Amino acid sequence: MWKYVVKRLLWMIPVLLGISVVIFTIMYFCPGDPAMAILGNGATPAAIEAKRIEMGLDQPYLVRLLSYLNQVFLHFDLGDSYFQNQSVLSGILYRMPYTLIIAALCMLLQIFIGTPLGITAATHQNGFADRACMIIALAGVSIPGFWLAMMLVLFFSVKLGWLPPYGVGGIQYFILPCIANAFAGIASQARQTRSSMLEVIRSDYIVTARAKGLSERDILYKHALPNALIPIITVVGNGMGMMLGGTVVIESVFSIPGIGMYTTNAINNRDYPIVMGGVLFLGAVFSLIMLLVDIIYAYVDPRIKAQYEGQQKRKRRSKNG
Amino acid sequence: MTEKQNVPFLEVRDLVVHYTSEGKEIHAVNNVSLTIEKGQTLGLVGETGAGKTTIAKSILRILPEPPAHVDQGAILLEGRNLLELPAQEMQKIRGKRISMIFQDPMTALNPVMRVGEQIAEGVALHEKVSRAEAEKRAQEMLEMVGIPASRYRDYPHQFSGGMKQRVVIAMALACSPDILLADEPTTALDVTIQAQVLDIIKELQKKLNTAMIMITHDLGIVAEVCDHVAVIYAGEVVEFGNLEEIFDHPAHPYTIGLFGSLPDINSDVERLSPIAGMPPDPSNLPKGCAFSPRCPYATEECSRQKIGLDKIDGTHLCRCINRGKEE
Repeated sequence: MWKYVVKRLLWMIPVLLGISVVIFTIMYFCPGDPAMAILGNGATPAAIEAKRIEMGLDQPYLVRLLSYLNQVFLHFDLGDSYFQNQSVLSGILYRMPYTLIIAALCMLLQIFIGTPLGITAATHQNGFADRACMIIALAGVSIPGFWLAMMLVLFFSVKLGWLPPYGVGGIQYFILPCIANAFAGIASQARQTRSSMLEVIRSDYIVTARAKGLSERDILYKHALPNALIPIITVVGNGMGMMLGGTVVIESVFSIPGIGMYTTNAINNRDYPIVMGGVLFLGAVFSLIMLLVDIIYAYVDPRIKAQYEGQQKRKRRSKNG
Repeated sequence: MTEKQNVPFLEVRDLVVHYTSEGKEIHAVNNVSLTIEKGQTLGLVGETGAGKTTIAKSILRILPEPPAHVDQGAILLEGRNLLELPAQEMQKIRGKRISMIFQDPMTALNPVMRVGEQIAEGVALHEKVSRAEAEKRAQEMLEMVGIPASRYRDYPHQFSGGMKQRVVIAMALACSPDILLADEPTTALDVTIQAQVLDIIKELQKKLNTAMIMITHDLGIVAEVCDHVAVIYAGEVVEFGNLEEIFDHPAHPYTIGLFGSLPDINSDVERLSPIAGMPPDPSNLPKGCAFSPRCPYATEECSRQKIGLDKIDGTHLCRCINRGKEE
């Protein structure tokens, strides 16, 4: 198992390399000149040219790419912001807590609201509870997060004045952003849990469990749910990715100074090092989450664990043989 | 027919079960009555879809409802009607007094639970013992079916099909049930494993004095383990009797047809003689005798009305009006 984890961690290196090449290339071909953006509209062409040379922007694509990769992967330096007098890494680390808090809270909402909704729907298939849960879920997957965010602000902040409309501070500042961001996740979680549970409930081993004399409650939580978990965990993992992406939008709506805001502002300002650093950071977090999901699979389903371990055994055998 | 002086140990009386599928009513079990005494084995023989498994599942009340629905009848365990028991009472009977071995061992075990725990779970539930004691009992059961107790912590995917079926058997017998419903316990297994599994079941049945209902379409198994046989066709008992009565003097044309379609090592025939035609559509059963469309001896009278189950002699019953005339 540990070998598998180490192997997967090593695999992250080529993934991150790929991400940085792609994002660097996109930024390279983007119209707009950072030098001009820094100096402003009034700058003379000669001054802009001098700035370009100073920043190394006159170098050919390959040279710039390699020097960027060298800087990031060999010196662990994401570069400095063009406008703020700060390294990108410290900028990211400073803003990271906000983004992670929102993503984690959303995750908890998704798991602890979405899963029970799905179980309720599955156990009352075609009944009233099922219909109600599925209508909520349908609304959830259909409503865009930013629209919901604005409606929530309109109602709870502007009209009722219960919660702050934007900014950061105590926990009350996180309530609306999290609800807006998590709703879609809750919905897809509920739908996945329902269909996965429905499939499992019809399995032969559920009949076996019933024939053993177990109560319906034990059948549901000891036999059905553990078997339904694999697709549910997949949705949780994907949801985490969605949340990270969603925070970009939500942070803008609520003016939360997280990674998302940091990156979107940088895009507007053509502050390329921040854009690349932010994307790379989100990519790394996403890869780690996916690894975590795969590790959780192994603990939920012994067959998958055997597969992970089996791969290594097979390789060892073929090496010896 | 049954011993009048005392209540039979388990009696299925006039059981009618139907399934609803796409608006159609499928008549799976039509007026089946059976009795079984302690320590005895009753064979239910019939084609796939004849309603054998539905009978067994109705006894345990584990039919999926809907689509299944028990329309009428009673299932009496020592005179107590199981169909009328509250759900909690029924849970105490399942796995403790009546348990079931399922047809397909590949899917009957929970894939993410250790096999030992799946056995111990039932023991802990019914015997009110500590976890450690339940675990010990489960290990004994594993040993009893020929699996080393050291494999208690293995998962089902680490077992072969035959071993899984033995785990299912161990699970069914862990609480020493009074009645065992064995639903084609060997169908999904290799021929070589079949004999082993049957031996295990027979041995344990003798040891624990368990009554058994053996559901099968294999007359060889019936001959080996059963005391009585009920031949089921289209959800009805068409013939009932003890082993000699059925094997030596089969009376119903369907039973005769079943024997005709068996290969016989002692006689030299070119071809087997299968029963012509297909089982009737259970959503649209013939009006009279359900077998009449396929029966070589059928007369007009057969399709006119329901045929009763008549006594031939001893315990031998047969549902045919032309019996004896066919020769």
